[in-house]
Amino acid sequence: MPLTMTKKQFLHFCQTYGSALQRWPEDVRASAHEFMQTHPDLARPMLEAEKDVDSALAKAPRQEVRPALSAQILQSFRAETQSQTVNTAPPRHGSLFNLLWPQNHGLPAWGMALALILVFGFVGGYTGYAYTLNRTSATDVLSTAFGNDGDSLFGEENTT
Amino acid sequence: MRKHTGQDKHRGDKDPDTALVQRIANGDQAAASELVSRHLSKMVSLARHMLGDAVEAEDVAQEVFMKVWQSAHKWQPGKAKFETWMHRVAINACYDRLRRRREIYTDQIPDRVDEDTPGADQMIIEAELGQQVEDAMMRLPVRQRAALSLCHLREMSNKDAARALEISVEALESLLARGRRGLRKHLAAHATTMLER
Repeated sequence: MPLTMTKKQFLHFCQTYGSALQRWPEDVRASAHEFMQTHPDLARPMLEAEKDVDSALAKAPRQEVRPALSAQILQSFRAETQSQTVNTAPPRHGSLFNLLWPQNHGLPAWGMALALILVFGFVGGYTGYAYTLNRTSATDVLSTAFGNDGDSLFGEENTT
Repeated sequence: MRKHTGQDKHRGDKDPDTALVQRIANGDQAAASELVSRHLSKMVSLARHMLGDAVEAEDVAQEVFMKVWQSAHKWQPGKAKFETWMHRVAINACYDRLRRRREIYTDQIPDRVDEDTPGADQMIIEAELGQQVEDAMMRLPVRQRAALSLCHLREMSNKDAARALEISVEALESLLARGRRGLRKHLAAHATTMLER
């Protein structure tokens, strides 16, 4: 802005930014000061007329920040950071083994292997034993295996 | 004059928050703490002046910082100042709340003031004056309120305030001038009412 501010321009800035020149745009302050020096009788009433609104705005309540609010916000940062870490971490193992037996859930992998050997050994052994009996129907074998010896699990098939 | 938007290149001084934001993107808690201490009170004050409600102002501040944590890694330095962007997020959060808000009239119960406190009378008068100003501001259109809050209460530069509101400087000046006129009118009406009682 040129260093010759008009009365109309001075009034515009007064009514927009108020009576405190430090709130006026930086690039017009020099010309405003010059206007005030050359036309004090014009500038003073215009500035005075805006002081009531400036004074009122200065009394607008300021809200203190509670320390607990800062703590809550920082807690949200920690939570967000952790969630981003979990979401961006590559999968440790994509194998079926890991799907069936996730790590870090109490039992080590060798425990899982031992349990599987025991289960398959028991099932295999019992099935083999059942087939060595004098049975004519697989249904009978299965019925026995499920503890329903003599009762039908599959309807009429067992009655023949 | 062209409209300032978030895509504008910021040609002013260097953004003091850029380094902090980069550290926050890397999960640096000290940087997060620094950013909170730098800007929390500004966000709370802005929201308070726009919403006229202390609790909602805190909620808005929390929303703003949550958005900061989620968006820090996407921030591109050299565009608008980070602080301006934060103000924009806060203003939008306030607009959303004002849209949802239903007017609920309740009796205004002032905070208790200890009668033995020296200067209690003055505190009450100050509190009442502050409440009158807040009431008068709440009667202004929301964009005028936002402009006054940014430029007069937050003392933001006109260019930064225009960027935060995504309007031109001329439009901002129009909002400021109309806001000041409206505030004077509402305060004068309130003073007349008080005198008539």
